[in-house]
Amino acid sequence: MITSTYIEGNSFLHKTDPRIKIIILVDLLVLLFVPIAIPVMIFIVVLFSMITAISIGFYRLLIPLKMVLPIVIFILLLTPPFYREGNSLFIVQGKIILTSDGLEQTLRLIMRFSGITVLFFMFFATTTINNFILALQWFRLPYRTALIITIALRYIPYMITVYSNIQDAHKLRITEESGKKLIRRFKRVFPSLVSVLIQSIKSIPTLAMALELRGIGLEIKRTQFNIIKFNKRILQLSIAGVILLMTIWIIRFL
Amino acid sequence: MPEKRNSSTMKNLPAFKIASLAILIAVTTVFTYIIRIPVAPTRGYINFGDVAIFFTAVTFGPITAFLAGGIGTAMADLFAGYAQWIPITFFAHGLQGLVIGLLLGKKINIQRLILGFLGATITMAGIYYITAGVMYGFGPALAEIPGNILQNIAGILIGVPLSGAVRRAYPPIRNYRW
Amino acid sequence: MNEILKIKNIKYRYPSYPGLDFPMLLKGINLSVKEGEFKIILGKPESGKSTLIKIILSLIPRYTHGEISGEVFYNGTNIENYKPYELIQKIGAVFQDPDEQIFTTSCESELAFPLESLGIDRKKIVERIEFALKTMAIGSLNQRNPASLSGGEKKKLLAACLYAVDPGIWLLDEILDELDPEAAEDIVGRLLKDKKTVILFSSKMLSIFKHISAHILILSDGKIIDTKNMDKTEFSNLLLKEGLAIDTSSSWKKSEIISDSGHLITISDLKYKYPLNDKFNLEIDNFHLGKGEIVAIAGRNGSGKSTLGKLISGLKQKEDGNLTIEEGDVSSCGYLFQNPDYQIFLPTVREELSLGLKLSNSVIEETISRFSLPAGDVPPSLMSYGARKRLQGAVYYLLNRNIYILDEADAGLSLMDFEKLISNLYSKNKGIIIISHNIDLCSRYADRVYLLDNGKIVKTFKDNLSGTLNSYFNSGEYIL
Repeated sequence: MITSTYIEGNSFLHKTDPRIKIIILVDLLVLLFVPIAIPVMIFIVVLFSMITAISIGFYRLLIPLKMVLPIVIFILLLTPPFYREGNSLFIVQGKIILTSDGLEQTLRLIMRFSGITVLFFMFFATTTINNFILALQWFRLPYRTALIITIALRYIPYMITVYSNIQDAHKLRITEESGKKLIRRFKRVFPSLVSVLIQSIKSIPTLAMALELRGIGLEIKRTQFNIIKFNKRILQLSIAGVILLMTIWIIRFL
Repeated sequence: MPEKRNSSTMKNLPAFKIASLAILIAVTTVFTYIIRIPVAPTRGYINFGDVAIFFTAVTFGPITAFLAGGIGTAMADLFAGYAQWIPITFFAHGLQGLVIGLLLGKKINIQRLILGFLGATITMAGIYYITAGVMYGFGPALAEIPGNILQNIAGILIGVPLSGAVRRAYPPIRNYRW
Repeated sequence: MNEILKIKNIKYRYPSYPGLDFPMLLKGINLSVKEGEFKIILGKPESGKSTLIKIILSLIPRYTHGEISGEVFYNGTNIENYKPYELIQKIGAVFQDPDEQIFTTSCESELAFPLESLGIDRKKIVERIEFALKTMAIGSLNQRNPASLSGGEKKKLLAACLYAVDPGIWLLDEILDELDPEAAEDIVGRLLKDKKTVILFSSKMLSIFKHISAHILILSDGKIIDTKNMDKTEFSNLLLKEGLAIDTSSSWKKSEIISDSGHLITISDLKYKYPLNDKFNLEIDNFHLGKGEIVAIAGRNGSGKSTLGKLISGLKQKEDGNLTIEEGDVSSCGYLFQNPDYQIFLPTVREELSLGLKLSNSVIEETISRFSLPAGDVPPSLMSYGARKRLQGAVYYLLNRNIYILDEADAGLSLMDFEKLISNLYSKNKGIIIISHNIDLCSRYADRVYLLDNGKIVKTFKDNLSGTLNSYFNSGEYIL
C-alpha cells in the first residue's frame, strides 16, 4: 500500500517550517553541484546524515543508504577508467587503474549522489505531503495545480483497491495456469488494465460535476482555510544563515 | 415535443480539465508504482508507467500526457522512496508524453508509431542519461539505458492497443481529448 | 409560503449508441416545492432519481447529451440561466455514492472547500465548520481522511457540508441507507426542526418515513405519483407493485429440486488473521452448505462476512483449520462482487460472456434474453448499473460453478431483478451463499442464516428468520 515516505515524529526537523526546509534543501542541492572541495562535500553529507539519524532514528538511515549502494558500486567501477590525468595512484601490471583525478572525481560523484539522496530522504521523512503542497503554494504554486495533486492523492489508494479487486475477479474467472512466457504474462494482465482504466475514466465527468457543485468555475477570489502561519523572522534568519554558510565555504575552498 | 438543448462542450470546462488531470495522474502513479511484471533474465521489473503515458498521449493528447505523465511518475518516485529523482522524472516522462502526443497525432499509422516510439525513447532515455551523468558520472549512467529502452517498448506495445480497447469499450472517451 | 422550486414537464432520454437505445427515462415530471417543505420521493433503482437530481442541478445536459425538454425554476428563475457553480448557495446535493463527491484528504478540508470557493473569510470558515461538525455530531472526525470513514460517516460528512453552506434547498439521494435507525432519525429530525427545504430520494420505504410529517411521492415509469390522498392499503399495494417494499406474506418458491444430504462446503475451526489488523481475527468453528441449499451470512459492516466469502472462494488463504469443498476445488466457486464493474473486462457483451469459454451463438443469445441484456455487441460500460449487474450474473451462470456466493448483490438492484438473478443461478441446482445485511433479503431467500459478529458466528438458525434478524439488528426496515 501507499504510505509515502513520511515517518511520524516530533523531532526538531518535523517541527521546522516546511518552507524553511525547502529553502535549505535547494541551497544544499546547489552546493552539491558547484565545484566545492571534497572535504566540504563529505562534511555536508555526514552532517545531514547525522541530523536525519538523530531526528528519526539511526536504523532508518539505512533506507536511503541501501538505495545508494548499487549506484555507488557503479560509480566505483566505471568512473576511474574515464579519468586518466593526475598522478597514478594504483597500478597493476603496468596498467594505471586509478589516478588522483580519478579518485577525486569518484569521491565527488559518490558524495554528490548520496548527498542528494539523504537530503531528499530527510525532507520527505519529516514533511507530510499536505504540508509540502501548502509550502509550494506559498512559493506561488498555482492553486489549481495544488488541487489537482491533492485530488490525485485521494484517488491513488482508491485505484489500488479497484485494481486488486479486478485482479481477484480475474483470478476467479480464468482458471488456466499462470503462463511463464513473458508475452502470456502481458496478455493476462491486459483485460484487467482495460477494466481499471474504464473505471478511472468514467469517474472524470462525475468528479468534474462534484468540483463545479463546490464552486470550481466561480470568478470570486478563493480564500484559504488550510494555511501555515508565516513566520517572517525564522524565514529571514534561515535564508541569511544559509547564504552566509555558502559564501564562507565557497570563498574558503574555491 | 422533446427538443435538443445545447449541451456545452464539457471538455473545455476548467473543472473537467482539473478532473481529467487528477485522475490520469493517479492512473500513472498506480501503473508505475503498483503494476509491474517481472522480467526473468535481468531479475528486474518492467513497470507500467510508460504504458500509462502512451495510453494518455494517444487518448487525451500531448498536453494531458505531459502533465499526467510527468506528475504521475514523479509521485510514484516519491512513494517508492526515490524522491531525489522527482525533478528529473517529471521532465523525462512529461516530455516523453508530450513528444508521443505530438508525433502520433489523432490518426495513427505505422510510420507515426515508429516515429513516436523513437521520439519517446530518445527523449526519456536521453534526459535520464544526461541528468544521471551530471549526478554520478556519464560512465555509470550508461547502465540505465537498456532498461529505459525496454520500458518504452512495453509502453508502445501495450499502451497503444490499450487505448484502442478502451475506446471500443467506452465510446464517450472520444470526446475527452483536449 | 413561497414556491422555491418548480419543475415543469421535464422529459429526458439518455443518448443512444449503436445497438443500444435507451427508452424515455423521465416522461413529464411536475413538482412544486415550497420553502420549509420536506418531500420524499421513492423510486426503485434506475427509476431516474439521480438523473432528476442532475437535471435540477443543471448538470444535465451540461455533462450528458441526450434529449431533454421542460423547465426547472429556482425562486422563479429558470436554472438554464445558472451554471452549476452559481447554484452552490441555492441548491445543495448529497449524491448516492459518496465517493463520487468527496475529493480532499481531510474532513475539515472537505467542509472548507465550498466556503473557500465563495471567498468567505477564514475566521468565518472556521466557525461554520465547527457548527456543521457539531450539528451532524461528527466533531471527532475533523482531522480524519474521508477515505477511512464508513459509508454512513461519509454521508454524514456530506450532509455537514450542506450545513456549512446552507443552500436554499437540499437534495438528498439515499442519504439514510447506510445509517443505523437512530442516526437516520437524528438527521431527519434535525432537518425538520431547522425547517430546511428538503427533497429526500430513496429506493426503499423506511419505517422512519411513516411517522414524520413529510409529503411522500413515488417516481414510477418516468412520472410522479402523489400519495397524499391514498388510504393505507392503496399506498401499501403501490409500494409492493413498485418493489419499494417486500411482501412478507407471500414466500419465494424455489423450483422443485431434490436436495440430498451431501455437503458442498464443510468448515471447521477455520482461522484467519488480517494482515494489517491484529485486533480482529476471523474464527469460524462450524459452517456448512448443503447441495441445493441457500444459506445467508448476515452481519453488520466489518463483521467479516466478505472475508469468509473470500476464504471459501480461495481469494484469501486460511491460517489454520479445515475448509473442504466437495466435487472440485476452490475454482468451483463463483463469487459475485458487490460492484459488477470489477468483473467486466471486455468491450462487448458477447466477448464478455464468452471469455475463456467456447459457446455457440445460440447459447449466447439465449443467455442474453434470459438475463434481459440489451444486445451482444453493446459495450457493457454504457449499459445501466442494473444491466451490468445482470451481465455479471449471466457470466457466472454460464461458468457453471458448483457454488455461488452473492456478496451484497442486491445493492443497486430492484428486488424483482434480484429475485430473477437468484432464481436463474438456483436453477443450476447448486448451493448459494448470500452475503448481506438486508434482513428482508436474508429471510426471504435463505434456508438457514449464519449470523456473524466481530469475526465469529454467534448464531445459526433456520426458523423465524426475519424475527430473529430483526431483534438482532433492531432495524428500521419497513415490513408490511
